[in-house]
Amino acid sequence: MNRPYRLLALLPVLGILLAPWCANRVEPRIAGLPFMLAWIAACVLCTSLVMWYILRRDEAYEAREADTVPGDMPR
Amino acid sequence: MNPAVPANAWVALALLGVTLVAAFALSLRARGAQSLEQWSIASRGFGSVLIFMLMAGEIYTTFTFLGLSGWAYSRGAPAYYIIGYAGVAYTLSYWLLPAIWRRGAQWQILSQPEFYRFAYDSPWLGHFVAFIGTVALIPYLVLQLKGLGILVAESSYGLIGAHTAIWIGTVATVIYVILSGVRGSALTAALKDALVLATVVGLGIALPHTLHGGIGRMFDTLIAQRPDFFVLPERGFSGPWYTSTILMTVFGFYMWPHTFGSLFTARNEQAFRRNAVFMPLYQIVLLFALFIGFAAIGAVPGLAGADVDLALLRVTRQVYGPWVVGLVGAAGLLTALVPGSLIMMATATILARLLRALPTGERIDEVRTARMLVVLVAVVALTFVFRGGQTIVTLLLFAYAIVTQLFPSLLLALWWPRRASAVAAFAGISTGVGIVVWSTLADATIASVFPSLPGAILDLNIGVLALVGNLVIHVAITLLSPPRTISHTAAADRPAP
Repeated sequence: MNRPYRLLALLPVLGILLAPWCANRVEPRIAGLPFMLAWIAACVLCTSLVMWYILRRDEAYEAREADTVPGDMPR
Repeated sequence: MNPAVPANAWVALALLGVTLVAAFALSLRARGAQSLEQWSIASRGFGSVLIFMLMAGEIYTTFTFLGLSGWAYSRGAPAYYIIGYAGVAYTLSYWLLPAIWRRGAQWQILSQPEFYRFAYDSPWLGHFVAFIGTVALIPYLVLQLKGLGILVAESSYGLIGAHTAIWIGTVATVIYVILSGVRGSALTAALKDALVLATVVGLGIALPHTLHGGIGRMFDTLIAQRPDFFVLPERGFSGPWYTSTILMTVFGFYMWPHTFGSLFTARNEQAFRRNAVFMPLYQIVLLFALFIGFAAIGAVPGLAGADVDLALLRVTRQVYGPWVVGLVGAAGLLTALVPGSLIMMATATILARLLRALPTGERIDEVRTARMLVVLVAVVALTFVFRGGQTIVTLLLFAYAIVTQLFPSLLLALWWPRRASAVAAFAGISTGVGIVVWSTLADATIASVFPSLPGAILDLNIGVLALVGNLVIHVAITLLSPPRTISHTAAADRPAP
């Protein structure tokens, strides 16, 4: 695949879906919150960060694609 | 347990009334609908800011306001799924929504039934999808109206009875819908979001502070009392339940007729990609609704069954005076009014179009018919509200289990278009919905049908089982059907609007 960075999106998703098996506990408390809750909230925040990163890379990629003329050498 | 009614209790109800009038006034500013398109979608003119507000407005519903805190109060850790599904849903949206939007622009369509009609080259499949959408919307509307009734009754300090409160709330919503269209909703949605944000964050910080001395201390106390409350149990609302419920919610998230339809109001597909970045942040605010539910545990003991939805309002009434109760009630009023009106609009619009599709339907004035149908839809929903008995979250999960059955045929339409078979889609959707409805009516779970299966499988959300059946049937029949040539001239053949 030519855009491997997009796979990063899987990280927070797996973190959320697999939380019962990675994080189903109360200790250690993060910012006063039970661990599992903090874990899930952190994964949701990561989603934002990861999608932001992917969006930036995608926009750069598409800008380059737009400038490419069919006769150009493949990268 | 009813706290004594203070002398200035009327303040709360007055604040609700003022808010309602403001909402009506905002909606009147948007008067003057001509075509059904203008009335229900405002013809693809919204930029990303308005799209954001409209879609954000759909997050803050009675579900997140009352239902989430009610589940936190009664179930504990299982309520975390509501925080988690956002991350997964928005990740999916980054790729899914632009793909849907592109087809929509190509086919010049504005609604969900039309998508299926063009994707599967089958007008009757479009009508069927419209019908299923309506079926799923009814429990969703029921929970909004239930929430509205609770808000009015609790804000009145019990002076207005539960049944009267439900009538008042429903009539207010119907009036609001008839007065406006989607533009009115977008403005009120902005007001609603500002108010609900302030309220939820405010209460989420203040209540734990007042009742326990802070959020951390609150968890200290609760964990000491009930350590198992904050982890998922081994059976029941367990890990498999949590993951399967999230997946089911994620797959159904964009399948709601009104959500699906609102996608086509975007000017370009960039709006969706940008939303995928910002919307998860918005969802974090839901943590405060969880805190409110937890804070209520010691303060308002004894709420059980469907009454847990009262937790947020009861604890507010107990700790604060009528001004705060009124403000909170006003925020809640809008969280029920805006999505409730969207749902009513969507249902009425679908039904008006379905009527028009009938052989004798050509002379029907769509806008007038939709407005009349709003009343019918409200009456039908009311009969279910009065029958009662379910928590808000349970109602929503049921509605989700149905609407999510439209997802497999959406996916296959996007990624397997050459083999698209209307018959396969119909069979798949029917199988899925059939399983969900049967299991609800028979009060069955996977456990009652296949009791010897391992515990992990037994806990899976029934919607997931239905989804699997749906997909299997759909794929099987597709493989058995010959490849069809889809008519892509369909868009050109449409009469000019």
